[in-house]
Amino acid sequence: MELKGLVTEAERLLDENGTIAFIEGCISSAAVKSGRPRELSVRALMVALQVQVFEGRFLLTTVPRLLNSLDPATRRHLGITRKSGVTLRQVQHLFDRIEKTHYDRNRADDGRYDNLDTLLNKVGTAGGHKDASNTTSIAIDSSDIPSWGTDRSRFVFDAEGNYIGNERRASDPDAHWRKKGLKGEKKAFFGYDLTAAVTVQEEGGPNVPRAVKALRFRPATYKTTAMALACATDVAAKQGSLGDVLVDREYTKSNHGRDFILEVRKMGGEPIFGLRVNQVGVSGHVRGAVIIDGQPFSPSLPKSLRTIHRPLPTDTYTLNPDALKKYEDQIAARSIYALVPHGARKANGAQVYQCPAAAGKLICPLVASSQFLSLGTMPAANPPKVAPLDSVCDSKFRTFSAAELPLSQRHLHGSTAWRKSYARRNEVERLFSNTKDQASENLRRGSIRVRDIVKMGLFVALSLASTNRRLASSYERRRPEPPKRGRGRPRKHPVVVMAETIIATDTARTPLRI
Amino acid sequence: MTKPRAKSVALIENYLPVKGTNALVKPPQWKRVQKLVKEAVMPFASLHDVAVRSYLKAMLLLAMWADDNGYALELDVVLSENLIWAFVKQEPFGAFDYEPHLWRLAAEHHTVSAVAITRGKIARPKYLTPYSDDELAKLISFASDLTNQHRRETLLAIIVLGAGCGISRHRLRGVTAKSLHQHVGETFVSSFDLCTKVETAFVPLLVEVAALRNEGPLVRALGNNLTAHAAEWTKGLHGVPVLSSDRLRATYVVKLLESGTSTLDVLRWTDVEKLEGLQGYLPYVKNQPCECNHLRKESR
Repeated sequence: MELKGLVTEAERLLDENGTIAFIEGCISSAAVKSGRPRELSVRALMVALQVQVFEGRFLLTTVPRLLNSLDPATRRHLGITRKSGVTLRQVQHLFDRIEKTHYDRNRADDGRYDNLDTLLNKVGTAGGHKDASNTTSIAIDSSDIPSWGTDRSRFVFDAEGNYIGNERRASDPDAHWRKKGLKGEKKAFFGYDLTAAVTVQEEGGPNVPRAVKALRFRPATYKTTAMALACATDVAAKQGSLGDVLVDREYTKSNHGRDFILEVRKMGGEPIFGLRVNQVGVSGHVRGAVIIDGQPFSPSLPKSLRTIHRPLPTDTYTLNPDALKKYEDQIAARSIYALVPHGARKANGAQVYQCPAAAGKLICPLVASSQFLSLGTMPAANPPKVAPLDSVCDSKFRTFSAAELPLSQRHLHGSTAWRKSYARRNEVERLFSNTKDQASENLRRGSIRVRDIVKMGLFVALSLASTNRRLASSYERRRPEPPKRGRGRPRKHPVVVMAETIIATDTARTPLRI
Repeated sequence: MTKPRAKSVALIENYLPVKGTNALVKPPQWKRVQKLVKEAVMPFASLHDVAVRSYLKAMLLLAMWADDNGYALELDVVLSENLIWAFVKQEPFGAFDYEPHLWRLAAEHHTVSAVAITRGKIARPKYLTPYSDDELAKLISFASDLTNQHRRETLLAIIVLGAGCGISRHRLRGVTAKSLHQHVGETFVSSFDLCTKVETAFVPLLVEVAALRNEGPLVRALGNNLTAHAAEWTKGLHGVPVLSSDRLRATYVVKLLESGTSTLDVLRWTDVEKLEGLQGYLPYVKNQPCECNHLRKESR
């Protein structure tokens, strides 16, 4: 695409969510600076940055050259009035102004991020395909964004040359360290976490284009779960409703679920998540029901099915499909003992569950009606002899509060349906992969050479907008065109024509009848 | 049960389905289920070892499935009515041909009631069930609509010879167009040493088939098993019953019995040696109500 086309495209993205107006507003609302008026407009700078990001460049030094190479009409349109051309100093000055007016490093509360979040969301969620609004479901995850800055220790000596301790010097004041994982599955890095909510198709619904719906940019390890929740809140506010919210085990660390799962349910979303190793298996009993993998099961569940070991892939061992099938078969065998959700979840998060025998899944001696179920229904393997009071065996229906079953979800964890539904989460991983791809936006350490949260965040958000735009055009290319309406009489298939001819002429070939 | 056969006892005791490339069970599971399997099948040691093998396989599959689903490996649990039905209906190992064996095992160990056993497949072999008129009409309609000439003629010939003449599978090769003949105004068909009467309703169709294949046998060679090959053509079709030469023959026999044909004629035409051979068909014979005026008055 020509430069002029790219400029137009960049302007479209920036105007989509009113980014320019927002930045101008923040700058003007800050303390009035003395001196002559600024000659480089916000629009010109942002457009130039966006055009560069389209091509995978994140450098400020090349911005003056790009702006000065534009034709006079475009320059006038972008608000560049200086005749001698834009200078690097002007670019750096305006970039600093944006940084200072969107983030107050001296504030300690989370309010310091308000302007930054608004700015990055306006920039980063632009460019998505219009069909991305056909779904209410999202996948949320975070990704490492290493800073160009460093954080090193050095020995400090007193005037007499005696060692007095270590001094830390971080060239990026906002970045933070993340330690490596316990088993070495994650590398240590110094930088930021980008948390993004990405569109995913509804369960069994049509394909939707991948697009960022909300994002948060924070120093590494900074309230990761809260950031995911903030993204979900943003999406719910923007859409007016929330569908499935897919997250990985990182966001379900707490067994009580109050930090994420229950909050998502309050917003009307349905969390679909993976469980950590310590959450898999029997975790207790509630009203006589056995709680396994966060779901309530009938007490008649045989002991051999209570703990099912999930095969896990390793670095050297790709998961054997047979092992996976065996595991899912065991989950399916156990599923008949699962209490059946009855109706929709209530406003307070409570859910009514039905006894599996009363629901027609099991033959249980405690449920008289189950004796008349159709032949082939499974008998309960280990039914209790008597139904204890206030237990699931005592009544057909039992209501469980949201806090009693925080880790319950629509499908049984580990089942084939759950695996297929949870696989939609890959969309968010694909988005990060797309953004970091060297052949496209190339968002990796060294590409961005500015230091601090606003500057880094702005480049990251611009790269997300570029990714959104690229994915939207890719989706548009792949989408099958709707069939054109034909003119005239409908065309008959040759076989139909032949059959009609034979029927009309061959009267002798009537079927034989007794 | 009669005296156990030494060979069958040895087979049960040394049964080891964990060996071979297509082993039925893996060693850890076999360790868990072997006691139950052997205990369940041991009362059938009086049978021939070939028959015992079927019982062993049936019991092994049931025990494996019960073990996978967490049931206690005890005779009264595994051979309970609900569990057998669930196993038979779900077919966890694919098509299962040993359902009667399971019911017999359950009956032997008294783990299910007599009523429950009669609900199972143990009561009556399926091959003696005649086709209903509707099923037969659909089968003939399907056969006559086939576009492949060879298939159309072959299938029609098998149907008409089976349901119209009661010709059994191994005698099909012996029927040619020249086999049709008449005795005192009735149409008959001969095959090797058997001469059988053609059901009146099937005569026009048989004549038509004979006209189409006036040279050589009416049913031409399709491999080792004539009818199994043709049965494949009718499988998996909506609304068309699967072809079965046994059921076709059963249709003929039941029609003969219902029409009041003398027993001697039935035995002669169907090539059944003893009256016991007809016993399996009797449940399907619809008895006409007696129209004797005298009886009617008395009953009033």
